[in-house]
Amino acid sequence: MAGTDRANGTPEPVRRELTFEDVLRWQGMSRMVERRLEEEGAREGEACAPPTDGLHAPPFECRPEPSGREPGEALLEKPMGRRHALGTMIGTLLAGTQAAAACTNVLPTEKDRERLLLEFQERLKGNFRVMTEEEKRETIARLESLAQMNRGIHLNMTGEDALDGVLYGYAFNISKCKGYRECVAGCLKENNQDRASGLQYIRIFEMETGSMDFEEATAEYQHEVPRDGHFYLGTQCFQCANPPCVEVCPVAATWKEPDGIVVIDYDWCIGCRYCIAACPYWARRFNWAEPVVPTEQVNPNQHYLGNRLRRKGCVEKCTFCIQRTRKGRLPACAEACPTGARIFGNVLDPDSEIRWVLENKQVFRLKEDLGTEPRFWYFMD
Amino acid sequence: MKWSAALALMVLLVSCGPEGRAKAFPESAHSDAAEHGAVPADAHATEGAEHGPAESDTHAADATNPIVSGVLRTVRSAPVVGFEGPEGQSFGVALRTPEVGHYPCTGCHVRPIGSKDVTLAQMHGNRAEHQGASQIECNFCHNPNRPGALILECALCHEREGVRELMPSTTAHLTVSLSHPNGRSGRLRNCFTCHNPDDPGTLSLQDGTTASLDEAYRLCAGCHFMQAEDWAGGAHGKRFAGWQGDRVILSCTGCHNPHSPSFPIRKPVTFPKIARRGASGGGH
Amino acid sequence: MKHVRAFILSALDAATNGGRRYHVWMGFLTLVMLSGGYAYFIQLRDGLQVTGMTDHVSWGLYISNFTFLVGMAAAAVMLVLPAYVLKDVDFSKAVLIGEGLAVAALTMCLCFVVVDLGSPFRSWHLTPIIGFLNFPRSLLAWDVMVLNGYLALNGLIPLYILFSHYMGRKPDKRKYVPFVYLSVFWAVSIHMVTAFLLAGLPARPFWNTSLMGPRFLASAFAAGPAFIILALTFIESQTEYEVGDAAISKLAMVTVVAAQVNLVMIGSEVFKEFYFPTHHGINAQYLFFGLHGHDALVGWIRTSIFLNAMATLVLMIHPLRQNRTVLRATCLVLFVAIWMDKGMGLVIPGFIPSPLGEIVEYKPTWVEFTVTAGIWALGLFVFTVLVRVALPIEMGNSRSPYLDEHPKPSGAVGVGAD
Repeated sequence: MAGTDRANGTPEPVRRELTFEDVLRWQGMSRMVERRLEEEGAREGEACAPPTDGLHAPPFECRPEPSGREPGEALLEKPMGRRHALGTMIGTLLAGTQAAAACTNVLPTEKDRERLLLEFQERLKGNFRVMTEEEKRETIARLESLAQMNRGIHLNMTGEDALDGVLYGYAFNISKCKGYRECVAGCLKENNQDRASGLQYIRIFEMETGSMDFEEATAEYQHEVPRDGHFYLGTQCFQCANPPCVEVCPVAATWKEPDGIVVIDYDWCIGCRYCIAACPYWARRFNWAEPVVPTEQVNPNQHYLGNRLRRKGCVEKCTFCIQRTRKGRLPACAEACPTGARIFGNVLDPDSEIRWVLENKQVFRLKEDLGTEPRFWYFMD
Repeated sequence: MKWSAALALMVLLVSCGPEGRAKAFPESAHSDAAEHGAVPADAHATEGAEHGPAESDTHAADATNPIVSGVLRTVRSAPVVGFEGPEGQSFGVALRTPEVGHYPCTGCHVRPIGSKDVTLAQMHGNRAEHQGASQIECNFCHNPNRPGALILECALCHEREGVRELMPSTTAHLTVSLSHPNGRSGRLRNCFTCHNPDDPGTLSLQDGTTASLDEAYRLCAGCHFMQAEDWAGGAHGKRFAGWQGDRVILSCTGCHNPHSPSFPIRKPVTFPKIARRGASGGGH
Repeated sequence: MKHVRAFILSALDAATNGGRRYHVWMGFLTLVMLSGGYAYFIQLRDGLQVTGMTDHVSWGLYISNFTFLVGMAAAAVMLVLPAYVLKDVDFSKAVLIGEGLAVAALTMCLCFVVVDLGSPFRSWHLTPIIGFLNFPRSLLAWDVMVLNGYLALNGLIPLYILFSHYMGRKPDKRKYVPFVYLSVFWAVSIHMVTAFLLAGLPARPFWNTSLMGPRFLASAFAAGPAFIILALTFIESQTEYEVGDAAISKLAMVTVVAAQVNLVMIGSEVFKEFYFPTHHGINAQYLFFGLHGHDALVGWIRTSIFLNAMATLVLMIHPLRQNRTVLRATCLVLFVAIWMDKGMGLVIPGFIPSPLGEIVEYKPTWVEFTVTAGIWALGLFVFTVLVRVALPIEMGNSRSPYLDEHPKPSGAVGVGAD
């Protein structure tokens, strides 16, 4: 689906004559033109290079490394803790035997061993929440090295902490949303979700005017929107102040950050899916298979607790684009919304738009009777 | 023109490759923007200079709405006139550049409106090529003595059936589908309800003064005062760049087509997969 | 030490030697286990996408079986309590079988939890100290604790008693009775904790009912003893081990009372959901009547309730209950009915419709069926081996060869009778 995204589409010629169609398009008059361009985009998109995934990537020796730095070099120079020393020892052993077993003819190269070592150390690491700063840096460096080795992707991953004096809030204007699902497209481009299964965090419900009954609503609409007699209500993870999902996790792989974002340590999650059962808003998704994100579609700007590449068998969800919002940017969905239905900001800041909405509009939240205290409010004009 | 002298807030927006920007807006239209009367000459220069190479986004351009996909790298803004934000704060309103909003005049008007040799050359040229018709004379619509004033009323062509077939290339604004503003009787008003008849590149406000197109919100607020209040407060409209830092928001025409302000009915851009369970699973 | 070695050897001997039918039975179970193992290998390789589970119905057949089997495990308490604590002589012969059943059921429980995990190789994260067990906040962490604890209790108490008997001496009450008391409370707790695991989720009104725990107990105390009756009567018919009619009829009594209570509770829930239907009852509506044309579970749950009611009715009639053949058939029906009710009828409809009102139905795939069958085969295998080892010792046929003076085997050595 993402492959045929309109916005992903065609690289049009950089310089060309202004056509009448351009004018039509700008003026929002001709949907026909729009559609045609879209189709062209889809066709050209398909002609692109076939997606490569981690499993079938060519051996990394083939790729030049743009960084100049040997992958994992920095790691090996670092002083090691007890746990890591153990990991290194076992890892080296394991790496040697595994690689030898894997290719009987060719001796394992230095890089093979190093990669297996890094992978093994990744297996032994602890919960991000209780890691020291040093350990956090190490695991991020390992993940960056592995991405470089396995897929040739130069990641820019951070694990930055919450900003001081910030508590995020989100408001959604149900009279503004037209159901175009532009937010979903923006989210998909940002968050490295599995393309093969069409994993989406945001769900836009087409509700009948005069009813808040989700039973009567549909999120599966395919027709042109907005449709008469309906309004559109988007759901995603509401980053509850009192999150039931956090309460139930048996290994504490999910928790609430000081800025209100509920995050998941994807590598600590064991995949029991108790949190999915506990969420009253159906906000969590599971990786039922190994996620597939074509290399050219990977967003390299990542956060350890945000949009980094996930693995099979872990739970994920919306994080208010933690990798963006902790840098002061808007979440991808808010930025992508063409109608201005999405308001995001710091509720502790009296000058913020979100505060103005909360103070001046009649707002409501979903299922307030459950006491989950979502940080996601709905309002009307 | 006080806004032209005003402090221009440079806001670093979502960065993106140069090809992405060019995709949505042809180079020619963009470079001519500087010459446009509505945009001060100094407003043009620094674009891209602020754009650090470190921040590279994978975002591609969105054809219809350049703002939303982060095409814009920098945007110039002027302080808002006549409105206060939350807690009485002042805020900036993005200036009308080819990248901002759906409806840049400079897409067609390659020379400043009001100058004597206004030609809608590019557009008419293309129209001519397409239609095989000859290029039309400006004077067909415009008063040769007062280029800003029109001889032909817009509504003449827009409202009558068959006009398009009869005179396909006679009016540059044929593509303007005017469904706004509605008069009290339900009848549409004409171009000069909002545009200044003496200089259609400016707006005439309800109190008789004029305002630039960049201050369209002042005109809109004349009727849509409720929306304007929400807009100034933050419940209506869109903010640039991020939730942090100086607040710069889009003017009304940044999102709404002033001639037909409601959003179009169209297909959604993505579709959900129900019963998602991995690559080979799913389906319903 | 040599006694221990002899004990292990004779246990192995008992487990591996048997008649032709025994070997066919064990071979069959092994075959099913192997095919389950193959299906699980596929699931490990390709991920849980090979199951019928989706983001909407995120728990399926595995957790359904898990909730049912927790009940089976807890049912051992219905034998332990009278036999050890109330000194009921009639149950003395049956209690070890009951504990064997608990061990087998717990093994299955733990297997079902593990196969349901998305990342089973990361299950070490559940270990305290090296991992991070979210105790006491997460009910699943509680469940991990109580299940393993109960498994240990039910493994060690019978082992101690059997070993003592093997050594030809009376087990020392001071050594095991405290643990027996503990296991009685523990049995109730594993059940309650598993019920709370579901009932503690306000997101799912279908489960979020205070009747969940009691109903779990009632259905477990019906299904568990029903299975034990089946097992005991089978053992009696196949071996010389005499359990005694009194034990069987008392067990049947327990079964029928529990089944009646269970039915009352089902009725109470049905009344609450349907007297004045609310949105919170939408899952029940889906379960019993179907919703918007989706009715995959309607036939299932109606069959279950019908069988449940019929079996309870039959067991309530005195002469019918006294008849062995009728009793066995009815117990089988009751067992199946409660499995249907507690499994697919309890876990699955909690997910349909989703908290946002979307209806996605669930249909298990062959992988799930095969893995489930494999785990059941494993449970039966464990149960068979345990019974096989315990019986000769209890019948006095198996004693340590290193005993200095063989005490005359005085027939069966009942525990409670000591």
